[in-house]
Amino acid sequence: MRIKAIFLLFIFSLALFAATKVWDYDRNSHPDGARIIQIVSDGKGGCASVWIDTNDLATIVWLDKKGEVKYEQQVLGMFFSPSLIIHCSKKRLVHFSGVPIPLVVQVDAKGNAKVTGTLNGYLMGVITLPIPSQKIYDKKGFFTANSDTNAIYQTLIRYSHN
Amino acid sequence: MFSAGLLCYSVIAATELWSYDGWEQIRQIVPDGKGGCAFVRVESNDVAEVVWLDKKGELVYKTDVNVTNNPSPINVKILFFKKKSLFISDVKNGENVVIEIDDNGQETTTQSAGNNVGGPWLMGYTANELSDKRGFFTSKINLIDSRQEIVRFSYK
Repeated sequence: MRIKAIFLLFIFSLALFAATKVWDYDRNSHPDGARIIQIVSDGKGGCASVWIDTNDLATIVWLDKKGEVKYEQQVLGMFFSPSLIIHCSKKRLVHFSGVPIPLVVQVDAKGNAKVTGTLNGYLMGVITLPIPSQKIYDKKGFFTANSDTNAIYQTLIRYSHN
Repeated sequence: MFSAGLLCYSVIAATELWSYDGWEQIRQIVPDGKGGCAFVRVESNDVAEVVWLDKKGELVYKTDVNVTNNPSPINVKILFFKKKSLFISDVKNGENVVIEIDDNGQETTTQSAGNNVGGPWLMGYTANELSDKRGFFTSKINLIDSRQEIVRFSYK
């Protein structure tokens, strides 16, 4: 009886300290399905993410702290930089794109995108980097990629630490 | 579809501030948080260097990798910056070591009792950071000879 009580207390304490789901975002309506390969927190509850479809095209999705889309852009990029997101903050997203040549795209908070190029060459990330760099948490919570075991797509979930 | 996407863009964002020779290939970039960075550059004959540049793109420090004692440049990893020091892991005389380099280029080597101190085994070159508060770094592939440069951009 005493052991059972301790066990129940332990389970109860786990429940007390579990994270809370704040929002989720999925691209399940996308006909090709999607898998998340990179998440970069903006530090304020939002994030930018890279989704790979079954046709191997990459899509950049920038979400605000409520999980609403600020910017979405399909890019050709996996061939020159596995780490497509360069920088993400509340005010700014910078990412690589392969359209029409390798270049850098800078997006403001309103979703307006501007292209950066260079003379006599093209811009890319560190091509030998096999795994994209990730930032999956901030002060108030964290992000996960949830896989549906019955489907090929994933869902991006925001949790608060409390 | 991609053409339509490109039309949504307008040119030109960001400003190129400086660039530095990245040899045949740049393998790791880690910013110092103040506009400078350290990076690993490699030649095809397995020669590699760790290069530390300040916010003006001027050389603070560089070290050759001793290929005799260090059979593959992949052993060299930039770990992190702390205040005015750069920390890298390397293999010296067959032993894994961590080297702290101050902004005068002075090296201090740390060895463990088991002679095997460094970053996590799976770290590889995954500790890449390409941005800081004021700008970002990319590698640039030159169209003529396909050699690389590291390029610093400001966001504005």
